Amino acid sequence: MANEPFAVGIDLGTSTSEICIYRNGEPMMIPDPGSRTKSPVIPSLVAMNRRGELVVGEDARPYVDLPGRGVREVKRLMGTGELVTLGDRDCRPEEISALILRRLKENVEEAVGQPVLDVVLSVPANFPDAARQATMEAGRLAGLNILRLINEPTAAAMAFGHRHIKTEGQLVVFDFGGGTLDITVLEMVAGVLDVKSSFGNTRLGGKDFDDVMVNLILRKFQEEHRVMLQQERARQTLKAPAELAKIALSNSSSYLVVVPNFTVRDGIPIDLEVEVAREEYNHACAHLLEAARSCVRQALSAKQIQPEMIDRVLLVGGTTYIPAVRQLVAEMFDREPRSEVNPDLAVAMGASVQAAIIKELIDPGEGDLIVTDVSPFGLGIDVVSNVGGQMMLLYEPLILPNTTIPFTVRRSYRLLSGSQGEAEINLYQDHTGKARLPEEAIFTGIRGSITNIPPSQTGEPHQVEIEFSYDTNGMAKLTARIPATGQKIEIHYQPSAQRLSDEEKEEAFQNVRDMWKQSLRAKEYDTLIVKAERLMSSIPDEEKQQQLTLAVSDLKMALVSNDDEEISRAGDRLVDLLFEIEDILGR
Amino acid sequence: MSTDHYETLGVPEDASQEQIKRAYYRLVRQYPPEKEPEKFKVIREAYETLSDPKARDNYNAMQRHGEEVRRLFGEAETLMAEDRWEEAQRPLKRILLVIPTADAALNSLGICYLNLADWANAIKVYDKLTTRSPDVPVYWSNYGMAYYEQTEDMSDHDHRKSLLLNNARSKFKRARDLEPYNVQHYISLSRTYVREKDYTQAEYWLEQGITADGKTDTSDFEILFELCIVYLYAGKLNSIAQTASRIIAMVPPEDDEFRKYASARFGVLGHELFQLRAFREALTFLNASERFDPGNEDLKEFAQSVRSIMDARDQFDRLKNDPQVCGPVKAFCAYYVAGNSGEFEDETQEDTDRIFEDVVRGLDTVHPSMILSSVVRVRTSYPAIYGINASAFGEVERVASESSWRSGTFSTGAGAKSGCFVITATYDTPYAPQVARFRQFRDEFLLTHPLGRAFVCLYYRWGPCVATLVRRHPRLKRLFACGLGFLIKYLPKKAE
Repeated sequence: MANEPFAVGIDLGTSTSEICIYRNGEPMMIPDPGSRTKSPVIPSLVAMNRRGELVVGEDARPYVDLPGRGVREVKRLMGTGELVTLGDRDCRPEEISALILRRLKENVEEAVGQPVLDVVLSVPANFPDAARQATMEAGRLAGLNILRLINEPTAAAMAFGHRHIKTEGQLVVFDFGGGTLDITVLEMVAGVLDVKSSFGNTRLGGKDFDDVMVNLILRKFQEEHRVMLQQERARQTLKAPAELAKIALSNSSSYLVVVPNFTVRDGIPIDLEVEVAREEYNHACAHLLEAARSCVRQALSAKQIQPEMIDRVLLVGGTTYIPAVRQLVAEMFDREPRSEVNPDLAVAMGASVQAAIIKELIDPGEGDLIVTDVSPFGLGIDVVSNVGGQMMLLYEPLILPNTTIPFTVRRSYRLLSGSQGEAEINLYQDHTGKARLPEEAIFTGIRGSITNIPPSQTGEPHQVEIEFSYDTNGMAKLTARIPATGQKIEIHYQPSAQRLSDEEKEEAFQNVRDMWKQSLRAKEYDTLIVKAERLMSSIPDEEKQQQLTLAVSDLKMALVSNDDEEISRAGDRLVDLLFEIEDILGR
Repeated sequence: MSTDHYETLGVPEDASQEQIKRAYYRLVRQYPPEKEPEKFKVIREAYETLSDPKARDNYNAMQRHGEEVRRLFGEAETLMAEDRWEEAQRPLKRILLVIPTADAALNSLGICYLNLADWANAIKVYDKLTTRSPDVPVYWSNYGMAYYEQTEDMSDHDHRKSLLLNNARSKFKRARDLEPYNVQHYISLSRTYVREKDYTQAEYWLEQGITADGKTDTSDFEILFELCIVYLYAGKLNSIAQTASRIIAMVPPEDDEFRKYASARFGVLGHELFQLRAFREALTFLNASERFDPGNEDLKEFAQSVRSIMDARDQFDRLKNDPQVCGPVKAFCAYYVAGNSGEFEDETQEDTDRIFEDVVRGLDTVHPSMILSSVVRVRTSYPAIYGINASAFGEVERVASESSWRSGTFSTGAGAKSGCFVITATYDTPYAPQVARFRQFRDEFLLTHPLGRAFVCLYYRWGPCVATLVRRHPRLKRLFACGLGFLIKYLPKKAE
C-alpha cells in the first residue's frame, strides 16, 4: 500500500489552494494538518509571523493583513513582473507561490510517506502565457516537476467526467474563482471530454466581491459615525471581516460585522458594528454580476450555443457560493445548477486525474476518461500583406486561441522579391484571437531566419512553405522551407522559453535559498548546508550532483516552512548523501 | 495529404450529424491525442469539417467539382484582368450554380457588376455577402463602392445623392471598424464627403486615418497624399505645402525602393496639381520627387517644363505692364503662356482656334516694326515666355521684319493708323496666303501640350504600386479589391 503508485494534481488558486492524489482509481483530497477542521482547502496566504518566520495557509491568516507582513492573492500578480514586499525583502510572485506549493507538497508527503515530484498544476483557462510561465517557475522553485499545466475548467470537467463516465451531453463549466471567471463549453460522448471553447475575464473574481463588501461596510460605518478614516488602513483591517461577511451572507439574509476598536475619535476608540443585508449586498454587486452575465453571453455566442443545448452546468470556484451568482447561472441557463462537483475541490481532483492519465495509471483503452484540450492562446508570425494598396506588416495567426490540440497547419507564402536574400520569421502570441497587427500581439522573443537565399532564377519571388504544429504539452514547432533552394529552418516554442532571464532565475533561486536563514533551526544545519554547497560544484558524477542539489533545496524549503518533521527528514537525507559522496568509510 | 474526411471517420457521405459525432468520439477513444497525435489531427480535421454544415457543403462541392471550379475561377480572373467584365460573369455564375456558398466567386461577380455599373445587382451581391460573412472587410468596402460610384455624375440637386452617399458611408464604416488600420477605408469615407463638397468632414476622416494605428508611418503616406487633394478642392493651398513637408519627413532615408516609390507618388501628385493649375504646389511635389529619384530622366524633364511654365507665368506678370511690348504681342504671349499652362483645356477646338485667330489678327493691327521690337523685347527680357515656343516667336519675328521692311518702303513714317490700313488691306486679298501661313503655323507650333505625356508612361511603369493606379483609375480600384480576397502575402524582408 505504501508504495502504491500515485499521481498528484494541484489547484493553485487565488484565494485557496488544494492538492489531490490519484491512487487506486480514485482521487483523494489531502487535508491540511494546519487547519483545525482538517480541511483540504488551504488559504493561499503567505506571511511572516511574530518571530520573523514565514508561514503559509491558515497559520498566515493572523499576520497576512499587517502592513508589509503578508501576501494575499499573489496569483493575480503571476507573470506581471510586479514584486511583493515580505518583511525586508521584495519577492517575485513565483517565490511566494513556490512557498504555497511547497506546503501542499509536504502535506502529501506526510500523508503518503513518499516524496512528491511529478505534478499536474492547474491554471485559469484564460491565464496569459507569462503567468503560465511564472507558474511553471514557481513549481520548479518548489522542487516539483510539472508534467503539464491544465486549464482549471477542463480539470473540473475531468473530475466530473471521471465519476460519470457514462454520461453524455454538453456541459458548461462555470468557473468563478477568487481572481478570474472562465466559462468553458465541453461535450462528453463515449467517455471522451471534448473542450469546445473557453471564454473568460481575467479581472473578475471573488476578490472583487470582497472589495464591494469592504466599500459597503465602510460607507455604512461612515454614514453612521462621520469620522475621518485612514482609508488604506481601514480597508486592510476590513479585508478579513469582509470576506467572512460575504461567506456568511451565502447562508443567511443578513450579517452583523463587528470590529472592536476600529478607529479612534477624540481619543475615544470606536467599534465598528455594521449590519449588512443580503439584498443590499447583491445590489452593490450589480456591476460585477452584469460583467459575469456578459461573459456568459460572449462564451455562448462565440460558438453559437443556445442555453437550451446545454445539459449540465458545473459550478466551480468559491465565488459560485454567492447566492446571487447561483441565481444568475440559473437565469442564464434556465435551470438550477446542480452540485455535481465540489466547487472547491473539483479542479485539484481533475488535475490529479490528468496526472494519472499522463503517468498511465489510467488506461484509456479500458473505458476510462479521455480528454481533448484547446490551445489557451494563439501563435502566429508577421507577414507583409497588401492592405488597401499598401504593404503592411500584419499578424498572421497560425493557431487561434481555443483550437483543439494537437494541431498542425501548412501555409504558403512568397518572398517580397526575386532577389531577397534573407527572410526572417518572428513568432508572436495572441491572447484575444483578434490581433491583426504585430503590435496587437506579444512578441515571444523567438525568431528564425533563412539567410543566403540565392536569387530566383525566374525572377519570380521564391515560395516559402510554413508548417506549424502545436502539441498537447504546449510545445510548438515551426518549419519554414524554400522548396526551390531546399533551404529550411526550424524554430521551437516551448513553455520554458522567454521566461525569467537566467539572471532573474538565479536571483529568484537565491531569494528562496536565503529564506531558510530566517528559520529558528537554521543554526542546526548551517554547517551542513555550507559544506554541501561547497562540495556541489566539484562532484564529477552528474547524478550525484543533482541528488545533492535537490537534497539541499529540500532542506532549505523545509526550514522555510518550519516543519519540524520535514526538517529532520530532509536533514537526515542530506547527511546520508554527504556521507556517501565524501566516501568517509572508504577513505 | 488530402485524405477523404468521410473515409477518415468511416461514415457514409450522407451520414447524419449524430453519426459523424459518434464516429469522431469513437475514434478519439481509439486514437487519443496524447498517444496518437498525428492520427488524432487527421480525425479532428475531418470532424471539424463535417460537423459544420457550411464547411461540409463546401467540402462536398470541392471534392466533386474542385477541379472544374478552379478552372472556371482561373478563367474569370483572366477575363477580369483584361476588363472583360461582361464575359467574366459567366464562369463565375457557373461556379455559383455548383457552390452557391462560394464567397470568393460571388465577390468577383460583384466586382463585375460594379464595373458594368449594374448597381442594383452589385448591391444584391454585397448585401448577401455581408449578411453571410459580416467579418470580411472587403465585402463591406465593395458594398460601399456600389453606392458611392452611382453618385459620380449626379448633380448636387439630385435628392438621391445624399441618400446614396449616406449608405456608402455606413458600409465603409463597417469596413473601417473591422480593419481600423487600413487607410483605404478612411480614404473612401473622405471621398464620400468630397463628393458633397464637405471638405471639413473629408479632412476629418483622413486625419482619423492618420491616427488610426496610433503611429505615424509610411502607411500614412497615401492618406497624406489624399489630404493634399482635399486641401486642393477646399482651396487651402497653404495646407498643401505643409502636408508636403509632412510627407517628405516621412520617407525613410535608407530604403531605395521606397524612395523610388515615393518619388513616383510625388510625381503623380505633382502632375495632378499641375493639371489643376496649382503650379507652385505642383512644383513642391515635383522637387521632392526629383530629390527621391535623381536618376529619373522623364521626371527631370517634366519638372523642368513645369519650372519653365512657372517662370513664364512669373515673367508674364511683369510683361503685362511693360510699355515696350505692344498690346497684340502681349496677347500673343498671353496665348502661349495660357495655352502652355493648360488654360484652354476646357475649351473646344473651335473656340481655341478662334482665340488664336483673334490673337493673330491682332498682330496685324499694329505696325510690323512695333511687332518686331516687341518680339525682340520678349526674346531678350522674357526668355521663359519666348522659350515656350521659340520657333513660333522666331517665325513672327521673321514675318514681322519682312513686312516691316516692305511696308516701310510704301509708307514711310506712317503711324499706327496707316499701318493699320495697310495691314487690313493686305488681309483682305493680297495677303490672304499669309492667313493660311498662320494657320499652318498653329498646327505646327501651338497647343501641342506635350507636358505630362512622358509622365503618363512613368505612371504606368509603377504599375506594381497598386495604390497609385487605384487612385487614378476607379475601375482598378475594384479589380484590386478583388485581389484582396486572395491576399497575396509576402514574407517580410529582414527587419531594418
